[in-house]
Amino acid sequence: MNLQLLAFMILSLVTLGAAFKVITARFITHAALYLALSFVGVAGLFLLLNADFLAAVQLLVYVGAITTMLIFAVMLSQVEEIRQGAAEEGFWRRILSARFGVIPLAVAAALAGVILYLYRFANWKAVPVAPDPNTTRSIGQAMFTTYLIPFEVASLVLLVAMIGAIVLTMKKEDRSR
Amino acid sequence: MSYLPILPEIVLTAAILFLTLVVVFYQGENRNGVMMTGTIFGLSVTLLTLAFVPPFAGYLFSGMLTLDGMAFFFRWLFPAVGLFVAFMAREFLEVKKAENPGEFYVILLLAILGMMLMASSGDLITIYLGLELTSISSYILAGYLREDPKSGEAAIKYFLMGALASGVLLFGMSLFYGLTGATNLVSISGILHQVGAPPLVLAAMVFLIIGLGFKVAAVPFHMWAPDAYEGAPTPVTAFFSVGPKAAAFAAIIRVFTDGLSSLVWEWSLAFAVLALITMTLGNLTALWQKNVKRMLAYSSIAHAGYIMVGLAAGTWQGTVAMLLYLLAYVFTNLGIFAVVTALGNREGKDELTDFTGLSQRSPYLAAALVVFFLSLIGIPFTAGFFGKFLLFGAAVQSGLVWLALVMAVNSAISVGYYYTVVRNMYLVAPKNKGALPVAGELKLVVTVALLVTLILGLFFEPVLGRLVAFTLPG
Amino acid sequence: MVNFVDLTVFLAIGILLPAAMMGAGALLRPQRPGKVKLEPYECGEIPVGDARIRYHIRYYIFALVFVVFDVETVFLYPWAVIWKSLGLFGFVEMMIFLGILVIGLIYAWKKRVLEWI
Repeated sequence: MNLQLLAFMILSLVTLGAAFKVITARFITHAALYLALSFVGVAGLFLLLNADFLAAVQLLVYVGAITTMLIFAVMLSQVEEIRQGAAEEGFWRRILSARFGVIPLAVAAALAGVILYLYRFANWKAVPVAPDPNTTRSIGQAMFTTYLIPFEVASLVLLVAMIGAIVLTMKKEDRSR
Repeated sequence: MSYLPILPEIVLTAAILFLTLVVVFYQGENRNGVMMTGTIFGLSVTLLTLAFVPPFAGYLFSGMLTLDGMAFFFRWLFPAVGLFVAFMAREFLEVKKAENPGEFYVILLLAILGMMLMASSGDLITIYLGLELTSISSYILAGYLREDPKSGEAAIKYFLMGALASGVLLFGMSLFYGLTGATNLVSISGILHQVGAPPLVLAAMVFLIIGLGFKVAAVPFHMWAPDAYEGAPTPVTAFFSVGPKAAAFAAIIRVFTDGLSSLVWEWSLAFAVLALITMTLGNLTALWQKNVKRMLAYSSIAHAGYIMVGLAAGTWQGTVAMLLYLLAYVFTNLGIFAVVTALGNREGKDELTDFTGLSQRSPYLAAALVVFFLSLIGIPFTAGFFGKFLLFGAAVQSGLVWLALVMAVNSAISVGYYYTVVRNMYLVAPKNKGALPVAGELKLVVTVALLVTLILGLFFEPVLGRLVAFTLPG
Repeated sequence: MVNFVDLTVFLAIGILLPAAMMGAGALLRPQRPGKVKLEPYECGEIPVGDARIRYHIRYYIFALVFVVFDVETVFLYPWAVIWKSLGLFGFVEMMIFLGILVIGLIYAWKKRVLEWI
């Protein structure tokens, strides 16, 4: 039990610490890498919840694919400007400035406080259930029975993302003839 | 056979996939026209299938889909919207020299499929997927004119706000899953009836209201709308102002009346407040606009406010009034945007001053526009009147006399900005003389919209009767 | 339930071992940095300009197509685990799913997205 708590502490610390670095990092590329670390922490939390398939998906899709895409997106943008903007005023200066920092910070803190308070006293429906020995099988089973329609629609969402990216980014000279 | 009831959606999907292949394999010159014809054919077949599939009412695919009267209404409305937008798009894409005119139609159809899914879903997961399919397609459509920086601005603003809204919505949905252990709206409703309204349920409900409020551009969450509407290609603006908005209202009706029926007192109060500020702010801000698309954006925000009065009523009558109002609003607004597109294709700037002397340059379009404005204001014998009348009645019935009065005052305010356009058309000498050349499709769209607006205004009873029969509770 | 203790131990060793090796190296090696030594290694070439340059948009589309098919793999995996028990029905459903994405692939192909510049 205590070992589990320790693991939870370490993983949450990794997740939250990395997430914090995402918004404070000076270079946006570093921020993207910290984001990947944060995703790894979340994958660990999934493992802790006995959701091994989800943990694998988290690593494969988020750490592997999404981060790659993010870094490509960063490399496409005018990185010089972003780096200079962040280097000129540090994160803490920015946070404590009235215009950019204090109000959003207060709102975020208030929201977090309210949610934490509500979580503490909520009557959660989810009761401890025996861990599923084979989550992949159960997920597959659910996907092809109950969640059939969402499963098929997911492929259409992927299709529109692909067509959209090609339409919005391909240069004229690349057009098919 | 459980696939028969969703045959229209299957037909539409097949059309989408086929047209995707047509885009890349058709080598001819007139790609734009071919794709428009294909889109119109696909949508027509979808509508025909919908008409001939034996009626089915109930839950499908383990409760993922709810096919009832309301679903039928929207599944019929959205392909019709698609037809209008496809007709409006062809000439526009040609005039603006859009780089890939063919894909426009594919993405439009995908958005419509997503909207149909949203309206007929019985589960938070299908609602979310339908919403994402619609939203992602909408972001792409907003940025479709790549050479135009305003179009890019519209896309990025819409995307960032839309992604935030989706996140908030998803967070609310996850809270409901955690609290009830279910994503199915019927199951959620059953469990909520037992547990009442603990604080976290209310917090989750607020997240849902915020997330969906973004999508309908209700006032504190509307800031993306004017920029997105102004920058997006005009046919896309027409689509945004009716399509995703109506779909989001369909999702709201689904989530709140099907899923959160036990919390009706709480959410109807929230929507009453939202309706009040949305219509007032939308109408007041519209008075100061110089760009017609921006003005219509605020007008459409105001109309979202009116529609929310039906939610504020929190009754079955309110829902019927919303549907009828949406029907009137959708066709009226499409007509207005067809006129704006026709003018913009020649003038290019979409400023209010472009309308000067339209009564001489194209008397038909000018007269049609006046009728559409009368319908949006809610003058008798136009479609908009009965929508407003029913909303008014539903509000009064639920004891919201103050809200009904605010609505009436707002309708009066809205005369102000519609009148600016009418005055420009009839009383101000034209900047550019000479008749305005209008493409055949646009004339057709205006005529059909005009007919719907007038017929619905004169003979609304059969339509109302059918809607009532559709949505009768139980 | 799968026991993840092995994994944890493996992870710990995986992190500790390189850290120990590099730490030992840092302690033992003589520290004599020079201008040439501190240059980024580029296969013997003298580096020119900044590493952070603007890349061609094509990379992004590659990445996006990769994500799409990555997600597809995620859906394929649970299907592969149970496809025998699903029978023909599951097979057809998966083929529809794949078919939709194959059309996306054909689209990308014909748009010459997959070709190198």
